[in-house]
Amino acid sequence: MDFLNHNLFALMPVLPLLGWLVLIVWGKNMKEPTPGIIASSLVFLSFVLAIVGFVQVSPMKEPLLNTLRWDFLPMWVLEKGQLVSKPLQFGFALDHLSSIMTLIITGIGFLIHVFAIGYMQHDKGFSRFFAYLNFFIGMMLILVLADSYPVLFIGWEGVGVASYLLIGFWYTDRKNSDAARKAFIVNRIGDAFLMLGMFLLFMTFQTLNIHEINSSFGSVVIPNVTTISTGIAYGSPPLELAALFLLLGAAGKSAQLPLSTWLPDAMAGPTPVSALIHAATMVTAGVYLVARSHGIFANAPGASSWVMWIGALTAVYGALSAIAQTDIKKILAYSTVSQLGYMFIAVGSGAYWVGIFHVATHAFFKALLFLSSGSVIHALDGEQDVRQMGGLREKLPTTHIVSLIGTLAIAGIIPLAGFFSKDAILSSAFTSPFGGEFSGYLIWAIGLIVAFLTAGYMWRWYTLVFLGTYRGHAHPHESSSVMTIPLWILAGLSVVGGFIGLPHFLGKNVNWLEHFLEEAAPNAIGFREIPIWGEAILIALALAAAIGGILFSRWIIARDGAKSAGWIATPFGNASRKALFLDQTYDVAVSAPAKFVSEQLELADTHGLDRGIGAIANGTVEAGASLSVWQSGFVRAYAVAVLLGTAILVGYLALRSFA
Amino acid sequence: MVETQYYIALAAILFSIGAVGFLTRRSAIQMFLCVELMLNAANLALVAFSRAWGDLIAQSAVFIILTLAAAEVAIGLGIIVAIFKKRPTTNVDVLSSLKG
Repeated sequence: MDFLNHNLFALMPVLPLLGWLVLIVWGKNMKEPTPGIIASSLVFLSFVLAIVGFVQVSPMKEPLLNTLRWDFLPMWVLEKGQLVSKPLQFGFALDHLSSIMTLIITGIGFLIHVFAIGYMQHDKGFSRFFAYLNFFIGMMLILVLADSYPVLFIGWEGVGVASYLLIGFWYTDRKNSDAARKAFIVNRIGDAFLMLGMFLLFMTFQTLNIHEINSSFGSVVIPNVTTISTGIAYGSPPLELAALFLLLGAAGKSAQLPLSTWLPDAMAGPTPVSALIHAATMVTAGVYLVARSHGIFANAPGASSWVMWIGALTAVYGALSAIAQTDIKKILAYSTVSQLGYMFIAVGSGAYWVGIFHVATHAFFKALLFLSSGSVIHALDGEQDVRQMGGLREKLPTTHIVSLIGTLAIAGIIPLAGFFSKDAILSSAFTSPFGGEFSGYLIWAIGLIVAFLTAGYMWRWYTLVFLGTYRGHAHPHESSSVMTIPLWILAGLSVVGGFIGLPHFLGKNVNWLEHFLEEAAPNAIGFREIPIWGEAILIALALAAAIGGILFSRWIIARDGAKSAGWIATPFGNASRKALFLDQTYDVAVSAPAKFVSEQLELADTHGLDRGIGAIANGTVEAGASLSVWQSGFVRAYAVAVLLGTAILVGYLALRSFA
Repeated sequence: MVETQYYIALAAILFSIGAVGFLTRRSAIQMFLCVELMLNAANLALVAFSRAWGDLIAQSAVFIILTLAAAEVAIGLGIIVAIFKKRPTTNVDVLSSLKG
């Protein structure tokens, strides 16, 4: 029983991986929708295990470690001047933080699996799709349950592979496989930095166990005074550098500047993939990594303010890029980039629970929005251009209602989920201990502008898709209930999801999530206190920005007409649609020089190296050819040669013996 | 008793006939016979010297050469037959496909 208590939760990643194995081996022979049902039910079992784990871990102070573990990486550490073998174990740990993540991953994952049964019907790759989805869920669970960085890295790479496979799911289209490769390569850059971070952490802490590293800081760290038990001081260079490396790794996975370019292209994958991997779960892995490494970041003020600034810049970059997009999914993709920037602001400010809070609420409403656009695309036979939509309010009533809920939730309208999490982010940036007062206020102001923009582009999205008159040529029909039921559940979560993290001014102990995570991801020390009325003003301003954004968007669309879709023709619209020319910048700054260098190398290869080697080979051949004249093919010529040779030899010997 | 130099002269004559035959003939079989002639001329010389020196080692060497020659004949004729099966002729001047 004790064994079961400790190891049950470790089954969570095993079940979906089992499903992957079964589907990849036997899936081809199964009839639709059997693979979907197998995959969904395994994820549902994992979800049940996640709930069991949540109940188990809720009253505990320490993380729950599984007992079934084995040596996995040989490692040696210096102890008293001697190398001691201390192999790293492959093990899982369930604490409050990873428990929240497993609930999100398996819960949302299950709903999206069910949705995909409807969305992917009649697709040739039906079973392959579910095999990949299950693989993704398994790897993502390994990522969040890992109790050491190398195990986390396995999951990290595994979800990268799953993402690659699913973006390029319809690989016969060149565009899709290019997008998959782009995602994989850009992610690789981040992964390289994550590995550098791990090496540095191992050098500094002599271990890679996440909980050991976090607890080595002790519970209270006073800035500038403390040296920690391991002798690593607050803000010391190895700590800051390791945190920066982790940040770059996280930026790759979470599509933060400057590694953000892969996420919009990743929309080439099927829509459930966009919802699950590129909105709700995988892209939040970077946020999770920072929250998971809270000990490091809370003691690395420089790196933390970098996290905040990268988040803030990405948030505004994503929001500006989302404004004039014309693809229904691209709008949401840039919105995801922007919202991930919000999460980075939160974890950078030192309020780790806020980041996880926004991960959760964003998972609800962004999965909802993506699945809704999937439902729209499905209804319009693959049409993705919002200029060909409009007036779908009557034709897709369910999709319309849930989309409206999602739009208002992400815009931050009270009392939907996005309102609470966005507000928590803004006030944590406002009071953050990192980067100084001025930087905190500036980031808060940027966040407020982003809130305005978010409400604006989301309202534009909603208007162009659902309001007005239909501008396309398909015959829209509402999706089947296997698709609408997950939409309703997600809509419900988008409405009530915010209540797990109520703001402080409503009372001391109303914030369930902050309290829940105070052991696993405690806040950094030194948040500035602001009065209750100050907090209320911040909230009012955020709400005003959201409402202002909606009104502004209404005004623009009313002025320009729905067909022009707002700003399209202006220089700003052009820049926004091209994502502020980031791809072009990469082309000029990275691709073109790289291409130039490789072309020069090719010239050097073909004209220098190949010629040299060719000359050696040709010389050898010619030398051989000149000797082969003697090989005349006439046997008697050989005989004469032998005879003459012998005669000369005998003659020489005879003469010598006489002489 | 016949003097040794007569045997050597005979061996030299035999060898010369073989060598000239080898150089002038075009048929593979005739050339082969000439090679055998030269070989046996050498054998004769060996036996003659053996008797002259009163030493049996050279004679036993001759026995080994004879058995080797027998084996060589078997293989050589086999090769000639194989060539003849593939080609219409055993004229060695025509067989020059390994020419460099």
